[in-house]
Amino acid sequence: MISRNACLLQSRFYTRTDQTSIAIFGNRAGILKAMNNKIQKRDLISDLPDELLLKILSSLSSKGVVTTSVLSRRWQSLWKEVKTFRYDDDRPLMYALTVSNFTVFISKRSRVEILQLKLTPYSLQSEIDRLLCNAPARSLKELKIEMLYNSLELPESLFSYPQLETLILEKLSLVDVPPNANLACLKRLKLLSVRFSCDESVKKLLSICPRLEELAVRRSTYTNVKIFAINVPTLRSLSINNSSGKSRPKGVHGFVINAPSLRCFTIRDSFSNYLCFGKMPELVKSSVNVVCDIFN
Amino acid sequence: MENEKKMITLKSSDDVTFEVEEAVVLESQFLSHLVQDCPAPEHKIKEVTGKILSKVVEYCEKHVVVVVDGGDSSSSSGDDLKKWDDKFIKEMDLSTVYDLIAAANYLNIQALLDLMCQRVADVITACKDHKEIRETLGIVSDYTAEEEAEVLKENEWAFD
Repeated sequence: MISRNACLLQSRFYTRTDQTSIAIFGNRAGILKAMNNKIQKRDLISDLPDELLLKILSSLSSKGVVTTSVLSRRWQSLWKEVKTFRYDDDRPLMYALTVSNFTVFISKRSRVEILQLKLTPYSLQSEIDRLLCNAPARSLKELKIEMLYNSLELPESLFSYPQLETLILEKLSLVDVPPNANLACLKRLKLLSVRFSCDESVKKLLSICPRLEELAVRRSTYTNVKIFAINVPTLRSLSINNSSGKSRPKGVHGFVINAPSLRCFTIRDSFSNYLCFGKMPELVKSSVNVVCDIFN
Repeated sequence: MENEKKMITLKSSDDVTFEVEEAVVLESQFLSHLVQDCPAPEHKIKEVTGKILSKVVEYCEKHVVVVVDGGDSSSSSGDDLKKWDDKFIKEMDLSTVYDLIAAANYLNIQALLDLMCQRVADVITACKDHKEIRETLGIVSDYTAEEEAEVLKENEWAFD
């Protein structure tokens, strides 16, 4: 195996350990003991190449990522190459303290490309604004914000991120976007269980994304919109999931889709009572799984 | 769909052979190219042992079947596959996981690589501090006590 061979070939790591052990034991028995330890404790994970360790680090919370620096010299600076950072707040009482620490931490990183924030209802809009204002705007390509059904106003700094291509909003209530806002580079948008102030608010959000290519919408009981109007001429992929949760608002509710450039379309819907699809002449792949009261 | 399924033999570094359908081999980008470029009935994979290759084959066979049968990739087959993945990783010790990471990377099987890396990340996340991470993953520290204290101090905010 690759890793085992690598382990035998580049024993730089163990040489150091042995020297330390020899210094401590200082006799033949000690050396033998140190060698036995070496055989038993082959550090297999540290022999994986950097790119693979970085892949593992990218799945950790930010705290976890930094913690790895203290494991051994092999890991000391590795975390600084990580481009994906998560903030997952599971300690509500400590929130104010940790989010400001995270803000300081993020502001010092120069190459953050993916930022995933999971925030509790204790989070304050001002803290989120400060965090995103301090994030390395030049490099950020993907931002995910998940809140436990709290309200969020998209921070103004977001509209000036030149490379932001992907925005994922989950379990939050979105405050209306200001009229002059613009997400000029956004290509992918996911609205997962997002509440809007009114139907018009969805249209406004989509209208500030002139380059949008992929859209995913997941409706739940929490999503209060009646008619979800998707009117995006640049859209190439659309995925709708309206099959989770128990109930929907009373009256007419569903989707109106007008996306003439669509190539890939997936819909799973077991609630809507109004669906209206415009022409999709370029469609290549579609999956329609709809159980409705009325099909229009 | 096909009348006759094309079979391909894979041979590990320690000469263990596996006869698999071509569709299974196509799960690996590396093997797809290999099979296309060199249409021999048997392919030796010098970098992967029999023990690990058997796991790779098991994973690919499961994922091929589900994708083909699932058709519209309905959520039930997706859930089943996830359950199967969970069971697959839970039965595995960490040294096998590391070997599978290296093998999935070499053979270019993205989904398997993602699954295995996530497994290690989950193990790290479950640890309460760096000492437990070291112990669980088998990492040997080569820091002196002073150096370790310094690194801890440097990244103090994360270790509270």
